[in-house]
Amino acid sequence: MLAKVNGSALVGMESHTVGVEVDITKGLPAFEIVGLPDAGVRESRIRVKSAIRNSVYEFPNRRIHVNLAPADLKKEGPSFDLPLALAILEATEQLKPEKPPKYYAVGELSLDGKVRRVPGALSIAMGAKEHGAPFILVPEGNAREAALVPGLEVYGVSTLREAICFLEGTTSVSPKQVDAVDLLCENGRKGPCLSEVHGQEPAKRALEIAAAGGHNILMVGPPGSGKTMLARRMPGILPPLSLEEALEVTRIASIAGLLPPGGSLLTVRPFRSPHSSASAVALAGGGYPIPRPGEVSLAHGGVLYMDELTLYPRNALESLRGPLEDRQITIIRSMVPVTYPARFSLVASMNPCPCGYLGDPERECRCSIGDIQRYRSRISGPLLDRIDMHVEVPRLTRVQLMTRERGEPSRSVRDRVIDARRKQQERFAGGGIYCNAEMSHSEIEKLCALSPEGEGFLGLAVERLGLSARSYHRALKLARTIADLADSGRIEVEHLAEAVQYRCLDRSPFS
Amino acid sequence: MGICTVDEKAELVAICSLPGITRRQVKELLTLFGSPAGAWEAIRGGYSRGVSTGGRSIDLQSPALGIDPGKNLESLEARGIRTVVVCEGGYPRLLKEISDPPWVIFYRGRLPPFEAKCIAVVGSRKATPYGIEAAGWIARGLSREESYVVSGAAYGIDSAAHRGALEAGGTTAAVLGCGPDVVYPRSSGGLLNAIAEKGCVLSEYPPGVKPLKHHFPARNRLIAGMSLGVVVVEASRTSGALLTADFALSEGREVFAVPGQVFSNNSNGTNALIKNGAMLAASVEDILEGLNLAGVDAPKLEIASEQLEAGERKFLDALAAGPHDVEELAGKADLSMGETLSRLSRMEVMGLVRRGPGGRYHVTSRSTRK
Repeated sequence: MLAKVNGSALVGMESHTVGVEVDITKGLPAFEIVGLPDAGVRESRIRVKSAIRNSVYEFPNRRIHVNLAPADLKKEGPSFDLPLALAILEATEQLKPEKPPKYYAVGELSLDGKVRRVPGALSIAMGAKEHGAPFILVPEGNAREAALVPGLEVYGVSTLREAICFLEGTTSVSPKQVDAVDLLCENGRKGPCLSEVHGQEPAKRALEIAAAGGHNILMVGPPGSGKTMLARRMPGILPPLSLEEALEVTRIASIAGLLPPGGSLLTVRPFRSPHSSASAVALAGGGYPIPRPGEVSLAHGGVLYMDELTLYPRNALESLRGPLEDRQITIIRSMVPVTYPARFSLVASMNPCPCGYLGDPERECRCSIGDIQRYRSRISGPLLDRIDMHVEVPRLTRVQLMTRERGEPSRSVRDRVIDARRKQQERFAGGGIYCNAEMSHSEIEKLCALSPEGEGFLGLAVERLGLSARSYHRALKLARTIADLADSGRIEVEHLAEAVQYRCLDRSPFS
Repeated sequence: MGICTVDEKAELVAICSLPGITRRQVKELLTLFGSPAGAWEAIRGGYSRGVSTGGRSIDLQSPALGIDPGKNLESLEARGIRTVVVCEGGYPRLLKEISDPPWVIFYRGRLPPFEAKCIAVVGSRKATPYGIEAAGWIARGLSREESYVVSGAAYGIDSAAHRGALEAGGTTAAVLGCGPDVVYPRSSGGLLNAIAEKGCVLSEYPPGVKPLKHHFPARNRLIAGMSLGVVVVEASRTSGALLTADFALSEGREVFAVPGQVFSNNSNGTNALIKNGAMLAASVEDILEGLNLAGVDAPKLEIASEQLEAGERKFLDALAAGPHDVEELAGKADLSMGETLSRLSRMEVMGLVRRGPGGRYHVTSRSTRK
């Protein structure tokens, strides 16, 4: 007998329909799976066999051929367990579905017949909807996530028997309902608040500008000055996620297996802080056979925080250059190129020098000039070029630490950021970019026109403050954002003047 | 120097261009063979082996065979590198008086004129914003008084001194520990070219010689030797600037030191110099008086405070008491972060304040009121 149930294979963000075809014939008992299965898929023979027996069905003692079509696509992971078990039961006529055919099923089986969660359920459900599936069976733990796809009936099952009863129509189950917009409104406002950070007002102002214009920012300061605390509050001052963004963020988290059990839409912008021992593959993404998203993609829509930037391996740092420029990353391995989105705000921190005390008012730095140059040169010019703002975060004085005064809450900062972003959206409408940081040179020339006075000032600043030529365009972009925050259509000298203060690493530390 | 004559300049330059040859060896060769031409022929003939080599054995003959003294001089000229030998009139006056003046000076630009009042401004490479500011200020002041600022073109104090002199439209000489065409430190090519245009970049080493460690004490000897006095702006106890001061003392030149904070390692050396009898240099007049060059007016406030707005004046008042960071300044003037940063930028461009490491702002000498 022949039977077929649709499963799904993920290639990057996209899901491909995989027909799980089962043919049971006479002959010596055997159980063969073809169609480029990896070890995880091949092992499903053991799980499926036990799960069927332990759900009080009979496992056929005959020759079983399984084909995962299309046969040229590599399949990985245990998510084919459930469709495989269902197809075997259908082929042996132990299951006579009442429901329409061409449905999709995904899920890993445990030996006792329970259905376990699989990664990427949201993308799989989206794919199923696209291919016109009538409904999809997913593990109960994935149901709230898959139900985010509008117009697709999603049923969560927790055991193999439950799935069979549902398909035969002996139990009536209603499809899982989740209202994405509701979730977004309810939970969009969590996270630590900026008012908890004492002092550091210049750094807070810099973060506000970074959030408003989508600029990447590097904080330079000694350990213990609150760089990490500040960075953690960055997602909270970014504008709330739109539904489209939230779905994308959730998809990536789901593929990486980072959604909590029973989790649904992620409504808070992600904050990723990979440790400085992270490899290039961990940051950019990779793996075999299907590359998995790396930290740059997991931070999509949110903040990638890299503490002690100089301690990361050189090649890991260089791997950031592509995604910072293209806002996405294409990973090419032996099989297929996979593209993951990577539109994140980079927040990085480093010490001013190896000992950390350069410029400290109380302690003297013991590093030699060579030490400092070598330390700073670990961050290559091209990478530094992609970071619009460098700000110094000095050590807090005792008075600042002891103060009971609370600063401005994240909420009101965020309101200003939202206003500034709205202006940028109007400016760039239809241009394919979203914020000032993404402006190309030609757009800067066009949209950041300066008065003769402004030109004069910037020229002087470049000359007198020892700013490099590459600072010039960065300063213009920053000035544009500062003007947006000040609700000014034109870039005034005062905006430019503030902008040049956010380029501290362009200046030589010794002259 | 009877054994050196201008007629045989080409030979003397050729001898000094031989790789690895030392001052002492040149002297011995000249004494042995009586004249540069004689010494040159002797080297080419292989008779120079008897000359003491200070433990190292170097072969002078084979490189000498490849050099034609006349053409060598021409090709140096063609590359913009001039030479002056110790017995020539153009040789720096004061340098000629030290115990072992270099036989030949290789230079770009123009040597200080005979009547130039050369004053060395030196200090540590890793300087504080205070030191940088002081060096620039002193160099500007000296230039305005038509002194000739001599320094070593290293990072920190040296560069600040050269820049200060150039800014004030003065002339300055950079003495290098490598060939006059070698750019070291590598990022200072622009500065060296500017110095060569207005003043002079000089060295006792022929073109192409790399900056070796032992060249620097020798270079410091030249800096001190060329100058009437040496001003040490900022130096730790181990700084090479103290060597320059030692050379100056042993040649009977004045030593000045700019006082610094007693807690700062960067001022340990200068404070110790003062304790040991160096003259204290708290202004350009102090230096000129110490060298009997005085008779000058006090410098005026370079920017009138009327040009500043209220907030900016408040910043200056606060900064007069010591360096502050942005947050403290914003508090003093009761302005927002954005407004404060924007004003500070403007003041920085006007040259009134300077941003140091750690985001702390300092006053510059231009805004100090006398």
